[in-house]
Amino acid sequence: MRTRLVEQARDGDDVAFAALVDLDGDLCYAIAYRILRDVERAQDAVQQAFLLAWRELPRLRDPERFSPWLRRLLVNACYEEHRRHRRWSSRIWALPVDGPISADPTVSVDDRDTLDRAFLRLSPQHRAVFVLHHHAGLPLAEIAEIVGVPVGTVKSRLHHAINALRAAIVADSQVDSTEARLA
Amino acid sequence: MTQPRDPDAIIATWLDDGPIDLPADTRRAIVVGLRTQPRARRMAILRGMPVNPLSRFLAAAAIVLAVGGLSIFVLSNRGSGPGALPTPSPAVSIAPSPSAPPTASPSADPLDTATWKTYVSSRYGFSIAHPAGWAEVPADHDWALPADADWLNTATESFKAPGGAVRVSAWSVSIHPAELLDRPTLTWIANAYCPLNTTPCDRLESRTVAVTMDGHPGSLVQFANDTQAFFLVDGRMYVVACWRPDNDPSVTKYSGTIRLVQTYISTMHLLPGGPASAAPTSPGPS
Repeated sequence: MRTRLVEQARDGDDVAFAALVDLDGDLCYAIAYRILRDVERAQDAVQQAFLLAWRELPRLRDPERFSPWLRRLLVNACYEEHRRHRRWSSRIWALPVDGPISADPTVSVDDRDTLDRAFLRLSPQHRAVFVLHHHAGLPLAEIAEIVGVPVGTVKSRLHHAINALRAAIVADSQVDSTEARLA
Repeated sequence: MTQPRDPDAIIATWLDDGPIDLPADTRRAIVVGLRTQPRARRMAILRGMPVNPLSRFLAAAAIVLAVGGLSIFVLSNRGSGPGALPTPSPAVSIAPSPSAPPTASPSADPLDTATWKTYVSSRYGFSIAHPAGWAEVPADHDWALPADADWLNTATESFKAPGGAVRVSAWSVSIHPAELLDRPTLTWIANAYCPLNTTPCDRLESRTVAVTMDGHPGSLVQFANDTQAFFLVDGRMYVVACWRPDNDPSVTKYSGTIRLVQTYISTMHLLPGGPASAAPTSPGPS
């Protein structure tokens, strides 16, 4: 089904491509948001990725490879969005209203703020690997193909990202414990 | 006293939070944007061929020789004697200039429709022909605004070129009597239709040419990304649209969308009994 749509879209059928947008749009948006932590920039990145996919689709030799190819375009679009807004993002923190507030009590507003700050300190390359693996559930080999680095580099980036986030949570918990004792 | 917390569980929950559905506006922006994107060429012939520096050089040399030879041939024959090549006549340009909206101009005669196939729409009360080989995509419900404003709606009788790169749609809709003003067609386009469907919606008259369909006068309007013809007959608007810019490469073989739409409407006839559904579905003027 998807392969047929890709073939039709590659031949110029925009209705088939619109169907691919329907099929893949949600996951692309979820990935882009989690890399960029910003709703509008994620929307821009998804739009750029799909429009580039439409332009370049005639050059895609194997329709079966559409999904990883599209994710590569998406990740590159996220990098571009990050570069474009770097000066802004260094001064403005994403507000929690960007996404729905979790109903899960294990993640407090403080946790969210701590993780957002720690995550935004990571490079977009580290964020992309982390999101593709832990949110999209992609295997390391496919991530390596998407981001264009060896599997060893993917492992290294993943290790660095998860350690940075864990360290932020642990440090935040220690601060909370100290404040509780002092009170 | 605080309980020990699992950082990985917190991180996993934090990562799962956030939007997961692409907003409809973004989807629409992508789909609308497709019509303005130039597409890469498909290198089907060269696919799989080994390309080394020598073959690249030979290919480049062959192209240079071919172009040079053709140029010499053309220059040597230009404007002299009965065997001279005809000088190209100045083409009517309808491409938009940077400072002005696109303007529609009457084009040459319609395309040859001898091999076209007639399609009858009892739903909308007309017959229309399309090129042989184009796929027919019948409407699955009556067209209405604003639900069917999107050009990819399924309420129109659509015809898709082989490969799907060109799509022509035709449909009709009853017009609210309050919209029948001095210039009902352009008023309906400007107020009720265009803002929901296409762009630009200003200065319509400068981009409109008069056309006829089955003896009824109408307006052919060139928009930025599509060309559409409108005919108001007995309180019902008949629309034929081609969803491509006039100069889009995909419609070059049809001499552009204006000529293609003109050809479609030259084959269009209203059914004596009218449409199967004649209930007013267009909203009143805003």
